[in-house]
Amino acid sequence: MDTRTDGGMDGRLREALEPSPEAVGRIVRAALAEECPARPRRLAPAIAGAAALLALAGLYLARPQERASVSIENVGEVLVVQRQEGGRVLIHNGSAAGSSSPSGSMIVIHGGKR
Amino acid sequence: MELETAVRELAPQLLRYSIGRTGDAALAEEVAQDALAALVQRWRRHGPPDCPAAFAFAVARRRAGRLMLQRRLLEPLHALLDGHSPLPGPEERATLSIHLGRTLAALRKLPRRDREALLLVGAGELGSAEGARVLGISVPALKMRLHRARRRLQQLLEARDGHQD
Repeated sequence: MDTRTDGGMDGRLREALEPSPEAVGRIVRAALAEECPARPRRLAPAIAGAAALLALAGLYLARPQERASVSIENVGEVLVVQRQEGGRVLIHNGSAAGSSSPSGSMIVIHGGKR
Repeated sequence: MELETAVRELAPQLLRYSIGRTGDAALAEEVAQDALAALVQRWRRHGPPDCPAAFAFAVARRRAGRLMLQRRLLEPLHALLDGHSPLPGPEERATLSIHLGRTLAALRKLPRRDREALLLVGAGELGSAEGARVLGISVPALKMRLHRARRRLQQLLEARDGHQD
């Protein structure tokens, strides 16, 4: 098949499949009216995830802090145990006072319901 | 080349390709419009592609393939639900021109690969290099497919014309 015959066959094909000018006009108008979407759209999920994580971190940091119910301080040979609500207990080092060595244990409950 | 010029030049070519591919004017319009919209978006975001025609035809080819598959899959469901098939019915087929109807019928008898090459280059007026690029084959392979397709289509149309006479 020579080039002229090829062209004839293609021409015949194009003639048969020729669209209406209205259809051509419609798709040209629709395509050119296509707006360029905002680019950061692809980053939106990542930004939303980061914002959620930041909000969680903020909530964690802003949570009400529990205060210790007692503070223990060592002043020389004396331990000073001070209660939050007032009042304090002094624990003296027994060996320095010439008496028997101190024994026993002390339990400090941090926070918790009283 | 300006975007608007490219769109105006490609629109009828894409429509011819899509009509030949889908056999349905409404579906063809959807395919061609999607391909042009993709080209417009690409152009406005990143500038013109190396070959705007090859870009638009590659999109149209994928879109047409998806729509045709979707249509075939949904056809039984549509028929079951409301008795209406998405494929062109007798009335729609009757409104197609006789010339177009005969050409489409002949095109459907071509092997799929040969038909695709002919629609891209013959109907869509895509160059051999661009057509080969869209199909992912070499230029000589495309020319071979085109040669087979043209010869077979001519035989089919002549046989039909002879039969009509």
